[in-house]
Amino acid sequence: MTEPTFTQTPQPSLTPPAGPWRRRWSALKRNKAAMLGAILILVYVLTAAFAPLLSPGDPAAPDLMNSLEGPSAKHLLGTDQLGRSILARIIHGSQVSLLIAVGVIAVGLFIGVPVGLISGYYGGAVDFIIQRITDMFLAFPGFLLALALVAILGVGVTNVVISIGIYMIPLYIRLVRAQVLTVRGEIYVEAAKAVGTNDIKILYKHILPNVMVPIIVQTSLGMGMAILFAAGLGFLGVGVQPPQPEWGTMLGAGRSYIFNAPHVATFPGIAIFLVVLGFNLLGDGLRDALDPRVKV
Amino acid sequence: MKNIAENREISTPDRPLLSIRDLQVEFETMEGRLRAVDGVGFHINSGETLGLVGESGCGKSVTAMSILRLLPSPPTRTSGRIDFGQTNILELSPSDLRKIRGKAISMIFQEPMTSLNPIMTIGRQISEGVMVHMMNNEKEAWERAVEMLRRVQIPSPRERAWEYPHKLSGGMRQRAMIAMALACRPELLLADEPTTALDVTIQAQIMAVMARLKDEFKTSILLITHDLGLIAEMADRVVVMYAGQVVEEGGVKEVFKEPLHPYTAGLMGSVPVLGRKFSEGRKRLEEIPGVVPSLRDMPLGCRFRSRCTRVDHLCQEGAPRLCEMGSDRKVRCWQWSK
Repeated sequence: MTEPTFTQTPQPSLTPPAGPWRRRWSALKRNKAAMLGAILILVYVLTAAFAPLLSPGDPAAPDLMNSLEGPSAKHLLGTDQLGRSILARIIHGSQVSLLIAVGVIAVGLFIGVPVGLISGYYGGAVDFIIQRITDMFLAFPGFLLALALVAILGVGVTNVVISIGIYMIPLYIRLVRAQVLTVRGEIYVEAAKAVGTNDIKILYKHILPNVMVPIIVQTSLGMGMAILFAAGLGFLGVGVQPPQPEWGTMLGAGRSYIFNAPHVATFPGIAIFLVVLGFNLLGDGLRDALDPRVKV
Repeated sequence: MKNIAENREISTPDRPLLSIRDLQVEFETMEGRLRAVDGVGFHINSGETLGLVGESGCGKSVTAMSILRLLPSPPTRTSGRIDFGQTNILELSPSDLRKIRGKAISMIFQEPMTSLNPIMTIGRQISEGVMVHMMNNEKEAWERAVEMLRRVQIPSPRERAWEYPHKLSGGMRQRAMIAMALACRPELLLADEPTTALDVTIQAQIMAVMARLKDEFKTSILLITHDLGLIAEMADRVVVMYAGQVVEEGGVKEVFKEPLHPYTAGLMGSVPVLGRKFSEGRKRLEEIPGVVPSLRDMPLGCRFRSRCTRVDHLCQEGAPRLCEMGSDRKVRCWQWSK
């Protein structure tokens, strides 16, 4: 009956516990498209992180003598209407775009997830009010809502983040609430209640971890969407303002020269395309790998 | 099982551990108000095991859930009294209620496969309750969890504590649930069909673990089941429920020897007896004809009327009351209350 007493702190035993996340990770690794997406994102992240080192010059320094030059040895991707190196601007632009994407997701996550948890868990009048407000926001076409908000708040990186972030919040609320509704009736939630756990602990220890999967997928897809929205706002001239390099703004400026200097619009377009593709491929891969119904 | 019978003598009948009086539980639905539990009352003495029997839908689980107030409160309305010691549980504030949950009264559920959080290790789930009530030190709580796993006879508990529920079999999970429920040494354990989802050999092991821990921790048990064999083996007293009401109550031996209510008699008759020869009085396995009346249209008069073998004119005219039949014996039937 008596067991030898151990004084060590709780530690994983010889075989590390093969938790649910470990199995999901190995499923994700086998998905080639998702890995391609992850590599694309990694390239962008590294580019953004080391932009000053990688950039062939000052992205904001005009050189009017060499404006609208095609790709050459001196300017690998050519120059824009003010003679600025497009490569340098795309490299520096990755910082802005990723920053916006992270900011938007942060706004969506930090407001949308808790509100969604509360709405789904408590139900009743709280849920009703939150959901009707959510309906109101979801009634707008997404891009139009962001555009309207920018029109109210004004241009600039911060306002772009807030505008697209506000669009993102109801998406998270809906997603999280729907998931909570399926989890809150589980017996383990009841069991946690039956041992006297309070609501806050139940929400973040029992319910949140069990609704993480769709949140993760939404986050990956949402990053791509945020970049696309930011670029769209930039293209219309209401996003990030020059001389700060932003892909959408570059695309918008290049539009006027599309016939005689197509590279000015093309290369930022490709930059946007590849990063959004990366996030979407990873998001799809995550969804497949994390879906408990799909056995891999 | 002998010492359980002895415990019964120790408990004081005038001050029960838990006493339920006139409990009513109603569900607000689209089709109106449905009364799932109608005026239920019984008590549990300290150290005793009370069996709560009845068929599916008779309100057994709802009664148990309302003891811990686990039923969601806008659609459900609960009234009556549930006295635990001196306090009426139905009047406790949410924070006082949390102090009772798990610490003084805890619960194990029918489905061991879904009653553990799939993405939390067994050890953490047990130590969580311990940390809520007993200690703040994470390491001590963990040690307590390991100790509890050892007590419910899970082999190599220290390693098992690090595992996730999917690696454990149904029996093992139910042991883990028992460990979780008893980790804070509650005075009362509500066991809602703890072995229904398990196969028979595992059932016997689980009940043995529960019986042993009950003696060790001096815990009272409310054992909800429709398995009469389990009641005969585990319980000291038994309460029989039918259609939301208590129809019979009494000591296990007395009730099994001489069931007073026709429903109880029917339940006893529908249990197959192995090995009894025809000459020793073997009969065809009996059944109780008909079905439980729906909550939506409960008949006036006796609720068991349409299925009863001893029905007479009184049964239609009025609902019988629960009548005292000697010491600690009650029955709800016109036959005895005329």
